[in-house]
Amino acid sequence: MITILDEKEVIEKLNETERDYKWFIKNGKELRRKYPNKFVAILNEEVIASSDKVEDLLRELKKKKLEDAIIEFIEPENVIIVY
Amino acid sequence: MKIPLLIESKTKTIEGITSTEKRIILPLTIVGRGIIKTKFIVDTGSSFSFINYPTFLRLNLPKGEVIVKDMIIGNTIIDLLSIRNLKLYVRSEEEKAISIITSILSVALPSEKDKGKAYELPNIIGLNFLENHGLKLFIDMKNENCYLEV
Repeated sequence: MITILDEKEVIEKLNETERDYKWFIKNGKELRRKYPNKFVAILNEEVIASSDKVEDLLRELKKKKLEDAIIEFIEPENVIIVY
Repeated sequence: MKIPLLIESKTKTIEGITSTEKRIILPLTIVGRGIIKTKFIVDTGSSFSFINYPTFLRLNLPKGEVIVKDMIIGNTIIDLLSIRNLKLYVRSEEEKAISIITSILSVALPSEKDKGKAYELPNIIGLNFLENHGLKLFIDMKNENCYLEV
């Protein structure tokens, strides 16, 4: 079921999501150099936390009340992955 | 109504050979027992659509029943478990929020045969999701113009 809404708060959250993914894409090379094989949390166009284990990262974000971040696994530079 | 998609481009050099990976991604929010910001890779080669383990953890969802066992994908082996009535929000080009309630998505969890790579899989939207929700996919890679149409 698809519904079209005009909710300001939802749009704001979606715009934030898109902005942080654009930043993630733009800075991909640097992130792969700094955080290979790690899970990173990105909020407001910066990496706010990283960890080898996603469970540890989620715990840290919960503790800091920063659960609004996007979370991405950073593939290493020397691997090509096809899905 | 158009839903803009982003193109993620990665140029990598391995043993002197440079290649570029490109993926089409859909940024969105998902509502479970919490609301999270995340993304899906649009994968027309996949007949399945699923959220990954980190997304599953963040949404704090209960485990459903196994619908596919030992599926091989991206260098790992997963089980797909059902999820009912998950609510997604995406943004249209006209700045409207589009809500999609779906039971097509499943969750990808590591199978007993997984070698520790299942946690690294992305969220995937496959052909079944597009078909079930009547979404049209437009891809113009040359001009970097990709979108879904409702």
